Amino acid sequence: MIKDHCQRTWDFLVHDEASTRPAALIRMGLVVLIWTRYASDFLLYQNLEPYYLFHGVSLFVATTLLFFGAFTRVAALWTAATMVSFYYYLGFEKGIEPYTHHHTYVLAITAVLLALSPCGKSYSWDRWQSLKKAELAGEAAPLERGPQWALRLMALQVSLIYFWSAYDKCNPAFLSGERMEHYAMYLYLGSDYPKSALFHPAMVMLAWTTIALEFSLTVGLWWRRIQKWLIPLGMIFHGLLYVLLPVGTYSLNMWLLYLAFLDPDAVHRFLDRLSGLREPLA
Amino acid sequence: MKKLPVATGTEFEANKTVKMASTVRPTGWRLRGRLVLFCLIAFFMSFGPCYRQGFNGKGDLPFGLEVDRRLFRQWIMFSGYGTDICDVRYFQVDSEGNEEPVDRFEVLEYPVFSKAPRSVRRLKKPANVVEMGRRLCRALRRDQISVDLRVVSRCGSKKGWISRHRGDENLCTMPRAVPRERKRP
Repeated sequence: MIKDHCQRTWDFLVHDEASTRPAALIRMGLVVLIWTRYASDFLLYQNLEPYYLFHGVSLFVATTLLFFGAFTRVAALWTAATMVSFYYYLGFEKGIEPYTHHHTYVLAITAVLLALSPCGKSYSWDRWQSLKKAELAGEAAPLERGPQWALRLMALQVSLIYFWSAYDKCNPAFLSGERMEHYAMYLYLGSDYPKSALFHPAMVMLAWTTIALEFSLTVGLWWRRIQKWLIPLGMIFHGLLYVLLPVGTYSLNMWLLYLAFLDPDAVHRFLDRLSGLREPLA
Repeated sequence: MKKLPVATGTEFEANKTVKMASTVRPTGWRLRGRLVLFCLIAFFMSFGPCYRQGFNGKGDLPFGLEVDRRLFRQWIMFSGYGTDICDVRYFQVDSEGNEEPVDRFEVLEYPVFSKAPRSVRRLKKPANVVEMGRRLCRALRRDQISVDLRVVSRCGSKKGWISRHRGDENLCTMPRAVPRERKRP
């Protein structure tokens, strides 16, 4: 029985095949996030040094192809290589400090994992080409299905982020609410400690809630039965982080990666229904 | 035009069953490649924070391997952010030892908090706290002959608040810190 369970888990992680639509949505969303964060840094007049030009041209060409899903496999690999180079080469080798931040890493690892997914099989120019080809040959439209293991790795990455950031917060300074007080005063209140007696308890509660939520998201997101509660909570959490702290693209990147936890076929059916295609009545 | 059957595997007008996720094991090099990539990436992602945060790894791996530890990611977002803030309370002490709070915004004539310069609203370091005290002294001396201004402050750190001034020194008579002379080679 344990062996069966392990086998099922392993198959779920590595060998599952399902709809490719979630991967395609991540593909398009990722390009939008990459442009939001980096495009303005690589406008041609910004810096004409060869390595900068090389990265800029690479960014624009690869991500444009990836967005439209043209030659998707190559475009995804190219985008992943560019993003990894942003993080390690520009960030650490060239010392451009913002490129070493966590949001750059999350974008890079998403791009790497996307390159290993069948993200071009839906909503893409490649899909359109294969449909036309099938039409000409009088064959059925190709399936929008593919292996899901890269999406499982994306989900694993999300869980690791939640777990280790919650672990990092398990220290007296954070648990006592003092670190929350620093954030609140640094960004909003200035150097005058609020007079309200509720301020300190509110900060303590906020600190404990954050840690509890992060640990819950670490494991809970894998459990489809409670996803309908946890995903909205996680989205609210990241939404609040976005408006309260300078987190950049990180929040939306995490929203996007939640797609990796969902049942791809459920997403597929949802999108069909959204397009007016209805499930036949039993 | 010839109507083609649609076969997405999950669609509804395929009029049979709604196909759910299936297990398809590739064979040969595809299987081996997938397994190797899956395990390597999962290991890389998991090892980074475990090594750096869990074991505080410095880059000296077993078997004499040395790596740049920045290769591995740690998830310590905002762990040092916002520590550049001091919590301050300025007050004046009269000849009888009574304390009276001093509102620096009022003294420096910034009636609206949001319109005060950031350097007045947010004192980042102990030196800024003392500097602000001196500024307040200058402003207060316009109306008073002798001023005894003190401050109780604590400043942020990764370990929480750290007490910096206990209010036992008059900021208006405190000597200025003299910059250290650099030793010439």
